Formats: sequence, structure tokens, C-alpha cells
Amino acid sequence: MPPSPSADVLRGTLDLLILKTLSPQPMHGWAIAQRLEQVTAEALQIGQGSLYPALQRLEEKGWVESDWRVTEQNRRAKYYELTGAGRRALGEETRQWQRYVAMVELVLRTS
Amino acid sequence: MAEALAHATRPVARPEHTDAELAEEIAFHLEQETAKFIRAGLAPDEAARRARMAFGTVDRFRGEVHDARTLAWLATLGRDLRYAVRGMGHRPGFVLAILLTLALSIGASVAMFATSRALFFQPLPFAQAERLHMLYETNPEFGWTDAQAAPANVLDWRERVRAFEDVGAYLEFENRATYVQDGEPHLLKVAAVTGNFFDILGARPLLGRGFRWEETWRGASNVAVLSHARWTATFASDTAIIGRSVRFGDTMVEIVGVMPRGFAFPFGGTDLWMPMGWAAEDRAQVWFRRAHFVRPIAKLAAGITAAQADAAFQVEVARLRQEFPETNRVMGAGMMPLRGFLVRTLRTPVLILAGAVAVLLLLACANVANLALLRALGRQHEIALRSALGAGRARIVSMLLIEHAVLALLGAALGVAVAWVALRLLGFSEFGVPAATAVAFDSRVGLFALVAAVGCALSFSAAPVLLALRQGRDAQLQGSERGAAGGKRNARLIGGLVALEVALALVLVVGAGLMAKTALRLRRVDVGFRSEQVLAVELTVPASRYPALPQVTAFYDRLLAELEARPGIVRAGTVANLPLTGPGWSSQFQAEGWPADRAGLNILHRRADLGYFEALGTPLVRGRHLAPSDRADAPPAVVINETFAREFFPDEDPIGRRIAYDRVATANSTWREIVGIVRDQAQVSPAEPARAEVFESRAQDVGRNMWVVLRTDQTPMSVLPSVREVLRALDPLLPIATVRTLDEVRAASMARENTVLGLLTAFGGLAVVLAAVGAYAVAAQSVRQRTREIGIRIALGASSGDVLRLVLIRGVAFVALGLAAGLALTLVATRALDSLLYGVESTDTGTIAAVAALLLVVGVVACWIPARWATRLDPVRALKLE
Repeated sequence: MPPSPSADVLRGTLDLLILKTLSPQPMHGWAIAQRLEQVTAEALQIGQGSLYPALQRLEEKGWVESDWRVTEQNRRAKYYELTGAGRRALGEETRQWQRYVAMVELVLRTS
Repeated sequence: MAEALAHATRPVARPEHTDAELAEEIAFHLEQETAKFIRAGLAPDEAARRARMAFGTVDRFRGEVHDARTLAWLATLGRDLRYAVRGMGHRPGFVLAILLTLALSIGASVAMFATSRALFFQPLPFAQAERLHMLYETNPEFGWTDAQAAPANVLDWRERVRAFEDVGAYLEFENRATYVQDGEPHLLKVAAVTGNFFDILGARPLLGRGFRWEETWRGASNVAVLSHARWTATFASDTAIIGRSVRFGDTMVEIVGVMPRGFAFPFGGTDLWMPMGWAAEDRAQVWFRRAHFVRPIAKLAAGITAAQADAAFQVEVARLRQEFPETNRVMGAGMMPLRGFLVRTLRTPVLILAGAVAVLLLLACANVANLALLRALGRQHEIALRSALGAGRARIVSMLLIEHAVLALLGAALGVAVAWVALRLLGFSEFGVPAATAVAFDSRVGLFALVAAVGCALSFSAAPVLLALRQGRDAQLQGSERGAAGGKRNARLIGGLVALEVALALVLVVGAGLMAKTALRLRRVDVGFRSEQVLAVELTVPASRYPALPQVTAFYDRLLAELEARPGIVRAGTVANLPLTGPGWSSQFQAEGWPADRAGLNILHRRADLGYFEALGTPLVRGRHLAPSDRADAPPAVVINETFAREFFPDEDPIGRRIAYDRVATANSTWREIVGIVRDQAQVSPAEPARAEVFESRAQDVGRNMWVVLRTDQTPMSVLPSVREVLRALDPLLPIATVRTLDEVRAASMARENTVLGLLTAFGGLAVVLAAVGAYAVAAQSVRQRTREIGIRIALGASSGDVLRLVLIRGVAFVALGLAAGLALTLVATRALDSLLYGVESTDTGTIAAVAALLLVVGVVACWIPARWATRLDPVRALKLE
């Protein structure tokens, strides 16, 4: 059964957003969620829960690495970090996304 | 394609996320999110609700992705296995408790399985063993049910019963032969057999040949067959031994064969087989049909059923009754399959222990189920998270099953080791297991352990799996508020398991208690002598150097005198058979002045002397003891026991009466005067009443095989070196056959009871511990589940006594329920013990009440510990705690 396109698009987008969020520094899951909410001004309504399967998927692809560390409040949390492959993938995905957006825009403008 | 494959297999190689980690991660997330809302000014409850809402319904693609992949199943299995193993490291106490429980209970089951299989099912190491039957004689007058047979009868059966292909026989008591090697005498165990013995068993010698039928009879030369062990140890595995003549004791014997390794029938440790060596003219003698001292073994003719053979057999037995009324008037006979005969006294104790082990295993499963259930309750949140994250029910169930299967398999592996050690330590020999069978640790035993492990895993997974499924259905991530109904259901499940454990424990401990009472009673029985500090040494004086009574008497007189002169030895005497080792020889007798048709049947008799009675401390009741003056030149004197006096001379004074060991006295009868009455000595076991018995003076009848008994004033074994020194000085070629203390003899007479007692006590002890853990678990769960309620009660001013009661009542109620159910079970189950009990009924109220009280106390204590925690709860924290 092929996944529904919307889920697929969402999934791809979410992956990209996570990669981008992680690019400056390693973060734990909750921090990623907070950051995404801030940046999108809470316009992007995704369940925070979707974050974790996505992180797991990225880790399986080898784009991020995880590591248990201690937070400033002295709590154990799992931090995620981009790998070299992840950085390359971010660049590639970003270019693809831009191509895609440009293409969609082109179509929208011409028709 | 290649990429797809790589994608599919990756999780096998890199299971980055374990579910437990994910659970912790999400818990952290929710906590942070809740804290954020609290900082924003929300009430904690509302903050938590909002945090959960923000987390949202988790989409299920993670689960889909995993479960749909071709190789995902393997990946999942691998991950679950790893998770199971890793998880064990995190909970060593829990895992240790379960492994120990399983190892001991599966170990006990495996040991019993291996034992029962060896006894009842493993093929006997004989060719066509199903055609082999033991024959025995019966005599209602003497109370014989499976007696040894008279050789003349056996020879007639062999010749007349066509349904038997062949009939042979062996002597049930071991003969001894002395073999002198480098000046050192060795005593060999000899089995006396008929010439067709090996052929009937289908046993082929490793070297040389077996016996021929003609060799049953005394001939020009003596022949013998060596055991493999003796051939190796004494004759250095020399193949040239065949055909060589070797001196055993007084006679030169030609070795004609060597049996293969492991052949040890009729006794374990047989060194040498020799033919019966009967004189051909014996066959016509009356004694040959009157003395019952051989064990006949028959091989059925091909194609004949046991029933057909028995019918044909009975015809000939009846015919012999008519032909030889003097000896066979009331003699009957029967047959029994060889295996059934060998294990006839073991069936009851082994079945009892097998039953006990089954109960123990069930109890262990209940206990592990309980522990697993408790842990599953502790992991409710984790399981809820998993289902929330899209783990299918099948995944959750398989995860639990895998975890339990790993535990059960480890437990079973340890159990096999436990069984192996136990069987070697306890020794199969405790049961007196016949030499023909041996315990094998083979693939069947392994298979049994595997089946037991799988059975255990399934049985103790049932409850946690049900719990998990229920949670999967109704918990989701809606938080960990335990539904009141669900909590009650869980508590009832745990309570029910505890009740089951208590009931089973009651059965086992009552069984152990009854056996303990039996052992105590047996130990207290007055057996007619004092066994402590007495050493007994068996000697056989050969006819070559001690041809007649005067030499034998002189030897023993001197031996006893020199022994008594040694330090540590207080009194020395001799007797033909030790008490408590079986009935020994029996006879009929006639008393002077009795009418011709009156006779005493089946009385026991032994040779002894004054020293024997004094060394053992058997008191004289009336008259006088046997005295040193009762010698060959004096009129034969005998001493009788109290039972003899009561049975045959109830209203008259037996002292001064004369008896002869003949049913009908003749001119040749030897008349012996009764000079005294001694206290009864138990002859077979403390549980069996003494039989009528006569003691002759060893100085008036030749006894070549005698036990020298020594009362010491120290540890009896410590005088053994003195005994050896004295013997060496008197006759360096005379070996000591057997050394035993009378305490050992006494203990051995209760070996069956003691073995059953020991094992039941071990099982019972384990059962009590398991039941205590169960009761503890139920109370602990009750405290955990009602923490908030208890906190409220304490906050509202409930005293610690109130709280204690609240928790205790719940736990103790289930223990009491178990006791009630166990009582009913016990009354049925302990009936199996009836045949082993002595001086106590299987429904002994004292024992049952004491054990029930013990279990109740254990239950209360086990519940009391968690109840104490409850009283110490800080109400503020308890209320905050979710």
C-alpha cells in the first residue's frame, strides 16, 4: 500500500525541518519541538509526538546520531546531532526543496 | 533492489532505538512540556493535560514501517532478544529470583523424569527383555507373596513348562570370594547363577564364553566369568586371562569369560559370576524342594503371551503340589515381568516424589507468573507508551513472551545442571535402584527440560499478557490513572495466584511434616538394642583353614578376647545376621510334647553368642543368656525372643522346653533346649513388628559367615585399625568383607522413608519461600496501588495501626483462602503417602494444623513488610504521586 501523498510530503518536510534545526548544534527532542514552534510562530501544527518517529527514521538513515547527555537542569535527555551524511543530505534536500518550490511556483505562475 | 535489501536489513544491524529508551525520551519530553505550562501559570493537572494534547496522537507509521518489512520480523526478534537480555542486567534481583525458582523446580522435575524413565521406561539392557519374567513362589501358610523358590521346583518348571523357552536362577544374596594379590586379601562379590543365566538374558561376554547348562552342577573343574571392572582393576585387562586358573579362596577356578562394561546383574558391583555348583544328587533330596533360596527367571517361548505362559505354568505348579505333598502342599507360584519385579518396591516412593515435583513446578510457575505480573504492572506506563507509539498488540505480546522464554530457557538450562548434580550427590542408590537400570542424561532428558521450559514460559506469561492486552486496549497515553476496575482485576489475579501458591505449599509441607513425624516415630521405636557406638565387621572363615567347629570356635574365641583387650572396645560378640537387615534364614519347628500335627512355621533363627547380646545391650527377660559354656560338648541351648514365647507358649513357661527345626520330629532331629528369653530385636525395619526368632550358640553350630560386633566407648569407626591389626596377627589372609556401624544399619533400614522425607522437606521449604514471596507481592501491589488512598487516610488522621490493618487484611485474606483450598487438596493428596507412614495418619490433624499455622504466620510476616512501608508514607508525597 503506497503511503498517502500528504503523509509523504509531510514526512519529507518534517525531516528537512529537523535537519535544519539541528544544523547549528545538537539538541534534545523537546528543544527541537520548541525551536520549530518558535521559528514557524506556531503556524506549523504538527503533533510533537510525530517528531520522535521522524528522529528515529533519520537515525536509521544515518543522518543524525543520538547520545544521552545531562541537561542544564541535571536531567538525562537524548541529544541528537547531525552526522556528515546528515549535513550533505541537508544540502541536497534543501536544493531539492528549492527546486520543487521553484517548479511549483513556475507552474502556478504560468497557468 | 540492492538498496531495498540494505534498507530492509538495516534494523537488524543497527537497532538504534530501543523501546525503553524511547519511553524515557518521551517521558522527558512530556515533563519539559508540562513544566513549561506550569511556568506559564497553569495548574499542574491542566499543564500535564495540555502537554499531552500538544504531543498529540502519534501517527502510526513507525509501527507500519517496521511491521511491513520482509525481514522486519527477524529484526524485531533480534531486538527483542537483545532487549530481553539487556533488561535482565537492569533488574538483577527480579531475574535472579525467577532463575533460582525455575532452576530448582525444573531441576527437580528433570531429576525425577530421568529417574522415573530409568526405572520404568528405559529398555533393560537385555535381549528381548519383554520376554523375561521373574518367577516366585507363594505360600498362604507362611504369608509368602513373592518368595524365592526351591531349586528342585525351578528345575521341574524348566523341564515341564513348554511355554517357557528356558528357566534359570540366581542367588539373591551375594557370595564372597577371597582373591590374594601380592599378599593382600581382596574380597570379591560373587553372583551364583545357573548355567543358562547369560543365555536367558541374551548377554554375550566380551571375551571368552558364558556358562553352559551342565556347569550348573558341580563338576571336575570350577569356572567363573569376570566383570569388566574387576578384569580391568585386578587383572590389568589381560586378554590372556581366558582359560587361566586363578585361586579364589580355597579353590582353583578357570576364568572362561569377561563380561562387557556395564553388565551388572543381579547386583551392582558384581565382580564374578560362578555357577551354582549343586551336586547332581541334591536334586533328589527333600531339602532341595524345601529350602527356598533361588530367584528364578524365565524367558517366554517365542509367540507366547504372558497370560498363556502363566496358565501353562499354573498347571505344572498344581501337578507338583500333588506329586510332592510333603513340601509343596500349599505352595503356589506366580510370574511378573522382569522390570516390574526389579522396581516393585520403588514404584510408590518414586510416584510420590514425582507428584511432589509436579506440585512444586506448578507452584514455581504461579510464583513466576506473580512476579512477572507485578513487573508488568510496574511497566504499565512503558507498555502504554508502546501501544501509543503504534506497537501492535502482537508486538507487545511477543515481546513479553520472548522475555519469558529467555528466562525459562535459562532456568531450564540451569535446572538440567541442578538435576545432574543432584542425581550424583543424592545418588540413585538411595532408592536401592536395581543394577540393571541406570540414569541417562540424553536427548530425551534435554527434550523434557525444553518442554518444561516452554510450558513454564507459556503458563507464567498468560497473566502479564492478558494485562498488557487490556492496557493496550484501554490505556493508550491517556495517562497512568489506573482504572479502579482494572486495578481490582489485577489485585484479584495476583491474589488468586497467591492463594494457589499457598494451597500447593500446604500440600507439600504437610507431606514433609507427615514424613518427619514418621521418621521421628521410627527413630523412637525401641528396636531391642542400642545402636550407638557399635561397629560391625563381616568375616568369612574359609573351610580350608578352618575345617570344622573346633577350629572356627577357637578362632572366634581368640579374636573376641584379643579385641576386648584393645582400648576403646568395651565388649565384642558375633552374630550371623545383623538386626534390621532383613529376616535372614527361616525354618519350621516342632516342640517336644506337641501333637504330631502341630508345628511352628516360618520362625527366624540366627547364630550368636553372649557377647552379641551384651555388646548390643539387648536385655534378658527371663532365664539365662547363651553362655561360653554352651559348647559342642554341652547339650544344644537356644535363646528365644519375646514374640516367640508369646506366639508359641502363651500359657506356659517355655524355659526348659526343647525344640527341633523339623516340621515333624524324627529320630535324627536335633533337640535344643530353650534356656532364656531375650527382648525382641527388630529384624526388618523399626516399622515392622518383630517375628518369632531363635538364637543358637555359635559354639554349637558352624557359622562361617559372621558379623563381629563391637561396643566401643568412642566413635565406632575409630577402633577399625585395631580390628585390622588383630586380624592380621591372627590370620593375614582373612579379608574384612563389610564394615558398618549399627547407626548406619539403623538409618539404612529407614532409607526409603528418609529419602522421601529429605526430598519432601527440600520441596516443602522451597514451597514456603515461594508462597512467602507471593504473599509479599500481593501486599506490595496493594500498597502501590492504593498509595493515594492511604495518603488521604493518613492525612485524615488514620493511625498506623489502621493502615497496617488495611494492607494486611487484603494479603492475609488471600493466604487464608489458599489455606482453605489447600486443606481440601491436602486431604486427598497425602493419602498417597499412606504406605510410607508409620505411627501417624495421613489426615493427622496436628501436622495439618501446625503447617497451616506456619504458613499463616509466614503469610502475615510477608504481608507485614510492605504494610510497614505504607504506615511510613509521607501523605504529602503520596498525594502528589500519580
